[in-house]
Amino acid sequence: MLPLKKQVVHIHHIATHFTNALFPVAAALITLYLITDNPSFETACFYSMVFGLMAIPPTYGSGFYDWRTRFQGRRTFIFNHKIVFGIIFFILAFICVAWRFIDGGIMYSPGLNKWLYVSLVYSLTALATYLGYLGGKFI
Amino acid sequence: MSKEKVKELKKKIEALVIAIPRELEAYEFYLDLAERSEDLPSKEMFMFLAKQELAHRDHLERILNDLQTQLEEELKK
Repeated sequence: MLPLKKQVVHIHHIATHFTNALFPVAAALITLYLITDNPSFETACFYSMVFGLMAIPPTYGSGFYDWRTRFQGRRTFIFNHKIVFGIIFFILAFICVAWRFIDGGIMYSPGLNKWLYVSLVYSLTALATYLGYLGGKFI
Repeated sequence: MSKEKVKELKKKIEALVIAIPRELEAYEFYLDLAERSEDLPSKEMFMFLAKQELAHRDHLERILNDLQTQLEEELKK
């Protein structure tokens, strides 16, 4: 049995893969919907984001614990960016999921809202990539 | 205050902040191997390596404290 500190570090590494994988998958699915017009891809995109969003609390919680214990809560460029961009990521992910939940037909209606929603989905991939890049510096 | 110097110090501090936990993890890794080893020469070798990692960590901690002092002084200028 691993000590608590190591277990939490492992939880962070595992959970972060869900957020960093599911949101790019959501972007790929929305792209497939735009290309094929097949609504299954759009629905799959929404569910990918729902599961990605659900993985955020254990990811951030374990990441915070890891930062406080392994790195003594030191503030450096990498940690500052991980905190700031992590918060932005969470807010945007929540907006995407809530928006699609409230307006299930967002992708089927013409107008600017559809493209704003698509832009948000793509921006999450960009943010996940950057956060993954920063996290990679610790490995 | 020299912006270049501050930037350089912050970069060095960041590198050490990342490196120090790695030394501790290496220490725990060798300590675990020492505990698992059944023959005495292996146990002693892993204990030696574990102590080396702790010494590295202490050394890096000293450098980090020194750099942080330098940074604080530089920021006061």
